[in-house]
Amino acid sequence: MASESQVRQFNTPFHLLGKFVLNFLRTVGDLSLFTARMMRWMMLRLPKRTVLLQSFYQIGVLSVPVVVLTGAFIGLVLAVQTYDQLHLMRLDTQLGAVINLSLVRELGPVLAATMLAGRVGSAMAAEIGTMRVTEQIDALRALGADPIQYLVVPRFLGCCLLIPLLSALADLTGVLSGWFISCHIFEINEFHYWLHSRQTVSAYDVYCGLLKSMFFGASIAIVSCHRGFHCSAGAQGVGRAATQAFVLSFGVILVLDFVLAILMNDFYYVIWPSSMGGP
Amino acid sequence: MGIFGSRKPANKPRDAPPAAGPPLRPSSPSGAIAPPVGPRSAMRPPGRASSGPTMIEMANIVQRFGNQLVLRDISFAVEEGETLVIIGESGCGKSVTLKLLMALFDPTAGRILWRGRPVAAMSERQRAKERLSYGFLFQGAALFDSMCVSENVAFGLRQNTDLSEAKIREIVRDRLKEVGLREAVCDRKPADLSGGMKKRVALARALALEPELMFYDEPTTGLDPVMSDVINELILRTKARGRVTSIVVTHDMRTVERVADRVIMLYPASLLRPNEPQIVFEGTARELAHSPDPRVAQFVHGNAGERIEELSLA
Repeated sequence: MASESQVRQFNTPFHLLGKFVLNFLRTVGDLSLFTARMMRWMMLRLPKRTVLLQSFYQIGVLSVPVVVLTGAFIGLVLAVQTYDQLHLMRLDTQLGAVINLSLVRELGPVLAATMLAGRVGSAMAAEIGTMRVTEQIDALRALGADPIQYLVVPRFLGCCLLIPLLSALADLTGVLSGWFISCHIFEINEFHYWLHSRQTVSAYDVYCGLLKSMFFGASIAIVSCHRGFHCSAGAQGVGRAATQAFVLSFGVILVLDFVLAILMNDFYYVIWPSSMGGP
Repeated sequence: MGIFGSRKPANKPRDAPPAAGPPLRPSSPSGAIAPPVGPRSAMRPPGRASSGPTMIEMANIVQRFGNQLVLRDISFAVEEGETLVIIGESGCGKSVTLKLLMALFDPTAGRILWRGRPVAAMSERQRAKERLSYGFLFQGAALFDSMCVSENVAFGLRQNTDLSEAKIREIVRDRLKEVGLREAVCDRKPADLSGGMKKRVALARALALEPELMFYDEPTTGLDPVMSDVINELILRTKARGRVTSIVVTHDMRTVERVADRVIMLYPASLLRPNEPQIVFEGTARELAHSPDPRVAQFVHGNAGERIEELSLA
């Protein structure tokens, strides 16, 4: 018990900071090992088709309504918020450029990923957490299945492959709802609306958005499954795992968004050095 | 591997002579927490060669969770065909012992040996393969609740064999019949089953791969007396069928009386004095009933005795 009293003495802010840093590093290390194990399983042997399809259905098909709703409302809100400003400057027809660019580059992927972190991520953490608490993960191992291969790989693949598709869907519904409100409610000239959109939004912007969402998907899957596997006992433990899965995934999404935005801008200048003014 | 060289690993010791011999308990001299030590042959009492081969063994196992010491220096072995019952009050480390034997996690110190081969030296892949010859009945049944009953029972077969769907269906039907469940339950989800049915489905699932060794984690806990007896009977039948070795963790004295060849009683590590062994009893069920040790008698007869004082500590 001597060690315990020693621990209590070390309670200065510096020690707390040290503890925080160590905890952070431990979590990052643990996550990396977890990811490495999952990657290894992905190379070795994929789960059966039925297992994959089931989780693809859960992640992809069942998320369509949420994503459509999100996309549609981003389009509407962007149009309503931006119209007044542009109208004052007599730049109404630029509305298409503003809405569509912000949709495909930022808001579509980020907000779709956020919704999916809430819908898919916390569900995954709660499901895996419950399985852990009720010994179902031990049962998997007892029956010769690896929990990482059986539970994590399908969810990771589902998120990686389907979240970009869902983001594309969010982009599409956002573009349509933005167009509808701009051209049919605010009565902007349709030809110029689309002309300005075409001049501003390049295929590169769309690809960037979708590529980003692939990273978002991967991080949602890894963070949420990891939280599920480290779920503590009881209903409270499962609830906490679900909440943490969402909060942490959201944090990672925001940080990744920032980092990827910088990298993608740099990449743009590398490919098209003449366009130094901005993509 | 050298010291176990004489023993053939894995397959086929099924028609060996019945396990009788004296119980094996490698005694560590002081009973204190000792580091895992040397050649197993040193711990084996003389004359053991005549009894059945050792199926699974635990040597000087220590298990801690954080600051909490759960198991301290536990050693025992189970012979082929034997039914060992581990008893003890809740929280004394019985379930942990079972999971350690199944290598579902690694001990803080000490060694687990599967047919004489140390588990620590095996890769996760080897372990997974070896584990297929062990069945585990979990305390809460641990059925996969996203799957129906027949998918649960078929899980091990689908995961590890290339049997045809027709063959799998046949095995599932047979196993469910063995545990007394009709085919009508096949399509039901675990959430719609009663406690006794869940346990029986879980048993059918564990038996689907025809294990040579079955672990039962509190098989009768939470069941009515009649269903408890059904489960006891199933344990006996499973054993009779193809000489399955069994390790049962329980605190149900009826189960002990009915199924045990040998009984081990664990005592919570936190209540032991230093240097006291954690296994406070080892012998047959009959010896258990007449044990002079007050701690054992207390458990067998269900008296709180002076332990009632713990209530006032709170």
